[in-house]
Amino acid sequence: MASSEQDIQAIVARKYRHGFVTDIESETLPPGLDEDVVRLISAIKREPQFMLDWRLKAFRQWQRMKEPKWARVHYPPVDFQSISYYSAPKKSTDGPKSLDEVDPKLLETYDKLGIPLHERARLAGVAVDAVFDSVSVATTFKGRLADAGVIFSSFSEAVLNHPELIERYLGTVVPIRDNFYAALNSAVFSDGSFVYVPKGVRCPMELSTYFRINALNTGQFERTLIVADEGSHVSYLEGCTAPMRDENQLHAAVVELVALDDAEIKYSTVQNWYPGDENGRGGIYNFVTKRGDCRGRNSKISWTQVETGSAITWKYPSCILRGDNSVGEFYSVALANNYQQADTGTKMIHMGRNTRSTIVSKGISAGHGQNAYRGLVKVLPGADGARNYTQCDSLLMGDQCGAHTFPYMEIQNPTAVVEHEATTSKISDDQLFYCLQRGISAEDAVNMIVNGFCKTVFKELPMEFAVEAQNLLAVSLEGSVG
Amino acid sequence: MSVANRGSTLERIEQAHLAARGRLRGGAAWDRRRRVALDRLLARGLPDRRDENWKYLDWAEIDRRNFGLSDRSRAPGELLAGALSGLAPANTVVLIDGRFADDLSAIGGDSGLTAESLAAVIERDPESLSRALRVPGDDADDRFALLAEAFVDDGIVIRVPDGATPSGPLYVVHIDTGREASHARVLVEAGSASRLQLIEHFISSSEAASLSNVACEVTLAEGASVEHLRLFQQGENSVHVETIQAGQARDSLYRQQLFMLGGRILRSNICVRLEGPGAACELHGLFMVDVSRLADLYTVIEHVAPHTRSNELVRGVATGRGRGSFNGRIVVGAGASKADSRQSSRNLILSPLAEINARPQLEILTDDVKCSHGATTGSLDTNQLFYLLSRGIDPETARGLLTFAFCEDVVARVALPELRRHIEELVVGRLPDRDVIKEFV
Repeated sequence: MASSEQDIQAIVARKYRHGFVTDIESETLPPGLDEDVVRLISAIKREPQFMLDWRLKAFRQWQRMKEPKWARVHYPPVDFQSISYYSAPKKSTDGPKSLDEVDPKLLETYDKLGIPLHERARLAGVAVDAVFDSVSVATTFKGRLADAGVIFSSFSEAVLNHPELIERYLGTVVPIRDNFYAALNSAVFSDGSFVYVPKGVRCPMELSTYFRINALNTGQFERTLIVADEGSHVSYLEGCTAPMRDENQLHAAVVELVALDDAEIKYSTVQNWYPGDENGRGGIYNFVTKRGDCRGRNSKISWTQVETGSAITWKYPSCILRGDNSVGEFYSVALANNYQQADTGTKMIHMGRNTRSTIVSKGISAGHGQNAYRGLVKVLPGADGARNYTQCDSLLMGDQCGAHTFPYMEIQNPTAVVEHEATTSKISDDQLFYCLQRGISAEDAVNMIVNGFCKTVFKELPMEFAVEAQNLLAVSLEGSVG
Repeated sequence: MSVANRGSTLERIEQAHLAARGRLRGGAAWDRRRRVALDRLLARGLPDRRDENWKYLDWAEIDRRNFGLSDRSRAPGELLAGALSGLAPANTVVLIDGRFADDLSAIGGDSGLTAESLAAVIERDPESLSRALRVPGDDADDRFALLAEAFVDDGIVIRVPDGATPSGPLYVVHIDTGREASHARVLVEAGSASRLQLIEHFISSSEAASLSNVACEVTLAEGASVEHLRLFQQGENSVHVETIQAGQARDSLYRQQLFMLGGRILRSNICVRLEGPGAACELHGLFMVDVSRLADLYTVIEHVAPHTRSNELVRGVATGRGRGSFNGRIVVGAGASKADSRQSSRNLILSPLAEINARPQLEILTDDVKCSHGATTGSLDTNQLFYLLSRGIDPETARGLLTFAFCEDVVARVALPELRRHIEELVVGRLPDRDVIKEFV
């Protein structure tokens, strides 16, 4: 084992791969938050009056709210006045019209991240909306999407070009008073993505957003709204990275999904924000509200997430199963290594008849990591024939880490069938021994076993993301066996 | 529940305390102890719906109760005879509204087992009892124990000397008689390598809106074994809240079996700490809630020492407007390697207005453990139902049989045959079409 331990040490010492800072001049608001900042953000974005009113309402609501404390995460209090609420790469003129006009340094950044922008985008067949700090930088493949009738643009553009859709759907899934961070996001969100898939359209390609926090002391508050009209289908991917810094940075996003009759939305996330160093210094606080509303009959919303980054992950992608026969799915792999903390899970609210939900959550804890699954399955009195299956498995590596399960099952209908299963285990010595005696290194063996453990989730990811997720997991975990 | 209402409940508690103060035992030291508990309770308040561990409770119903301490110690004799029918245990203790009834209690045998009135022990030896009896903490889950502490005066002290193995069970009957509250303390100390079978039976002599609040502590020394069976059969309006703390030394075994088959509200906080290597605990529970009964079971099993085992099994049946909730926390501490913990919660929900809430929670802080839990909620299996129907059994009976079989999961684990029989009869009595089912079981 001696040599493999050395290998492990080398890999442990490996630095966060995405921890570079791009040297771009940026326009950043001074830190602090008051009504003027909200007005200023709205003015910079040249938003119509209804947006400003909405933001101000959210801001006033936020001022009355208290920071929630119930999650099983520990962190020093966030000083909301020391964060800058808007940071944009400086523009020479009025912003890029096409990819060629995008600052080459930015493109280089995305190259380093390995996201398929520009030519690579075409090969990968992915349309990307890249959000750099707070503003959306470039959206590829607009033309092809427009031909299909799909609207895929940055949120600010959508506010200007499709105000009627924004006004109709914004805040209908996550209302501004929903929670502390959702209210904050509603007041100060700077950009994000908007997708509208019209009736009967199957979106011709996977849509994707890449988020990156670059500037120092900024918070990222993006907002994503996806509306799938009757009979439509869309698959959306989201990836996230941030540079290495000693300070903690706040990321408080809101994602709203609306699926109308017979529509289907598949939302995949590979989250790799900077997790902090091995002593728990720095890293992103990822406090996100994600919710999907299966508003129509036979609609389906599927969340898949691979959470390997962030110092603290605190999010619960949820489904409101309002329409009859609607389906909600949640597949999650959450990894907490070093001093990372993850409190994540889902809510499935069964309202319509014959609604079904599946929850598969895989938590991996290593080092001093703390990983919690927290979920709610609620079956309301009208939800006849509701069905839920929940499986939460935890894998522990090392005796300093923790794995926790906090499920809630609230059942108010006698025809419901709700099942919950959870197991906790470590990588068994037998499995490891079996691999070692066949000449597989301890590290590879652990990777194999972990990948096997997560397989049910990975197979839900679009192919290119699945590969990335596997690699990400391997990198994040290396060094935790010994 | 509004905060203003809450305030008035606390005021009533304070008034009840003032009214009772003069007649409580133990001298100045115990008066002080009660006062400290009251002050802490008043400062922190009772938990409420916003508290995650108390959110499913019917607080309006509890706030309607009287918190004043009852001083009755008489109960109709026939009630007692009825409760004991067919069991005829050698050792019986009766508590009426939390007060030890000397004339109705009898402890025989020479095994060394003692069961005394807590009031008598306070008067005889206030200091040593003060050391033995736990002072409840500030945790919200301990708030009702704090309430009991503020009124501590009577209850029962059960001691089994080292190595003693009484031949028969100790049978403790708790009787609620009226509209006042009872705040009984139960202290059980099992010496090393001793064995105790303790049966607690909760009944009431009237349909009055009573509140009984029990704070119970069980300590098991090395190698001790305690089987603790608890049967709830109170009247339609009685509210029972209890806080049970068990501490287990090396190689001890604590088995609790809880049957909620009556009463308006049962809220049970059970906390078991496995403090010595090799300690094991088993918690079995069954609640049947119908009409507008509510059962709220909250259990915490803490694995502190290595090589500890726990097995928890809870079954719930909700019909009518019944509401049942099970909140089971398993905590495996950083030092508890090789812990083995299993938990299973299964619930039947049989009517449109019934409700089941389940929260099987795991908190694990070390890696070398085996932990699993499963929870299901649903209706009867249609295949099983069809099987019985296809054999000519009518639907009502078939449903009753399947429900009975579901409850048998827990009832069958009762060790004493006559008691198991008794509980089976009670379970059948709660099923629709009971007469037909009786023929089968």
